[in-house]
Amino acid sequence: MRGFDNHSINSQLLYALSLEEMTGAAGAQIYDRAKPHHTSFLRGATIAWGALASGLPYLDLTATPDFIDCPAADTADLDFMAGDFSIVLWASTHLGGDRMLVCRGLLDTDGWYLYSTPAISFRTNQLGASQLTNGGTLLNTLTLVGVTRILASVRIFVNGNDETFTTGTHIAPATADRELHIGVADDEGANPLDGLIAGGPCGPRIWGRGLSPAEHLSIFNSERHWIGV
Amino acid sequence: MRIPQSGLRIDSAAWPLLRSQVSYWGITSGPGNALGTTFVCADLDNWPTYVPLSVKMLTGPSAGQVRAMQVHAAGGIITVANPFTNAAGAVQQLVAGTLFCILSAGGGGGAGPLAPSIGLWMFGEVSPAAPGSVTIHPIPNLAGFPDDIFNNEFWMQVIHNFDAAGTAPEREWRRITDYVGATGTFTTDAFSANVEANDLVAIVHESIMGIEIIGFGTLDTDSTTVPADSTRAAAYAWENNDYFKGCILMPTEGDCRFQPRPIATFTVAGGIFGLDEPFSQLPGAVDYVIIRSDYPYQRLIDIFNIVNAILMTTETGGTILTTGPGTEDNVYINNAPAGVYEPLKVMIDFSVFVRDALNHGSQATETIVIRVYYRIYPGGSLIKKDEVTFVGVLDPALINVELEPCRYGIAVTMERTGGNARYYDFAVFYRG
Repeated sequence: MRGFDNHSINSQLLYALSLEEMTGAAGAQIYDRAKPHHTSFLRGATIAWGALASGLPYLDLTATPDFIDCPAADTADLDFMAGDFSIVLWASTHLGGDRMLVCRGLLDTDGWYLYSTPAISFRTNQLGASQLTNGGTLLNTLTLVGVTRILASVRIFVNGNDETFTTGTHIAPATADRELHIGVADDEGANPLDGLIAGGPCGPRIWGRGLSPAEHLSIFNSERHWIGV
Repeated sequence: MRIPQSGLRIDSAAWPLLRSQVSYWGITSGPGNALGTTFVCADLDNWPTYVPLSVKMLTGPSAGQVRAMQVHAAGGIITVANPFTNAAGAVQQLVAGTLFCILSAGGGGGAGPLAPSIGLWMFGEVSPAAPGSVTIHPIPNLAGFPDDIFNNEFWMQVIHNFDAAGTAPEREWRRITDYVGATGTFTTDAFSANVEANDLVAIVHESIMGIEIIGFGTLDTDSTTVPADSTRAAAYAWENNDYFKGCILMPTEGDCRFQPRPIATFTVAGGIFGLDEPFSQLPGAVDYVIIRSDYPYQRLIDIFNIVNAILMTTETGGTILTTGPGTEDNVYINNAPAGVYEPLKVMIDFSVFVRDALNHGSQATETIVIRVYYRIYPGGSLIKKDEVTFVGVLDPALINVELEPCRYGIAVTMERTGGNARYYDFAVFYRG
């Protein structure tokens, strides 16, 4: 037997959606495979499910906006003020401009968020200040987006490769008592992703540690056959 | 023009000696090239080639200099191994009317080799007059060979940076893409810094580079994971799908130059290389080589697939609020699994307690119906397999729902048919 938590890549995994429900509209609960069991809900009027040719499930988030919402009270462990952390998800967007991937923060106020412009960008925020690191691009093709934050350093990974091209010196984000959103900004209206989020073994994940470049590449190589890249 | 200038009497004792040491005595009939690596004497076409003998200039700024002759081209154009120079050390063009003699020294019987020692590797010195370039490199001592003879399969390495030893482009390798014999000018993929006057280079054939190049071409689809050369199918009809599986694809120019990447798949239609690991960035539409490898790719794939197919025991769970009569709430649903997997069990907590001001569990008033559904046909309906009703307070309060292997869908639901809306914790274990 292979145990999920014994798998080295899952060490300190805090949030892991599988999106295997493949059913449910706004308000439906979706499950977290990580040990903390964050409760998450679907939001939006036009949310849709689908499956890739491999059978892998995905969530189709439109600009309505549709998004995934994890209540603030359930995300204290994702505050990440001084600690290292990492985010990985397979995503695409149909639109240009600023598109939110994962958000638990507000510009120049507190918290952090990962978005695309289409340059994949990560920002940490404090009152009146923020720091930005970006690299790679996110377009209308399912792409493995990864971020590792270790102390003041943030690296952006695209399909397992470090594609960071602008680096900021990241100050610890100010503590944020906010919901975690996937696919929309903190206000639940701005910067809708309007794209796909892959599920199953390729679902969105957040770790309470900094994944190494080799781990990002390992994730890509382990999951790319599901996506077809 | 051939001239008899000995001035010696035929019975002079020196005459036989002179004849034994000088093969030809002449005067240039036109100007040589500006690099000082050729001289022109049209009359030489009337005589057997004197290559690889040595030529000595007798007049002009290069008087007294001796150079090995490399190539005799039509028109009496002779290319020498190294440029003639003047008192300042600069290359010296040989003008018409310069006296010279061809010494009998050197060479031997039969046709001379393609001097200077053309072979699988050669040594070159960039022209002292070279302005410096990352791509264009005049190397007079390697002039005189047929145009394009070094293209693509020869490589250039800068082995000594004359004015800044040890700094770029020293030690860099670049593929040669063009060669002009008249001037000894090599064109290469771009070095990271200018190759400049007097730099020393090695010209090396790919067969002795320590890598075995079994293919080459130019990418016309720019991708980090599936670059392609759509012209391969037409050019190399014998190549079939996965022909290059396990070999190494390596661009020779651009941002990914010299990045080796194992080829996982090769698709003839489109000439698509599926890479085992992606390039660090987009390679561009650039030249590439395919390198033979002992990389046991198929064995790794076999192992990877076996390991990947081992199902991993995973858990998920949460808390559910019962809606009420007529509504089945999904405790756990996997409506369309990506493949065969093994749900193990659902555990539901019916115990009564309050957490975060939320009332949990089944009291005396509650009636809960648990149902289990499976889909066993693609696109079919979820079919009820089991249904159990729980009434009131339970002891023991933890309910186990054992589950079956599944491929097309499974759902475990609970419906409150009596009592109040209350919360129930649940946990699901599965191998997937």
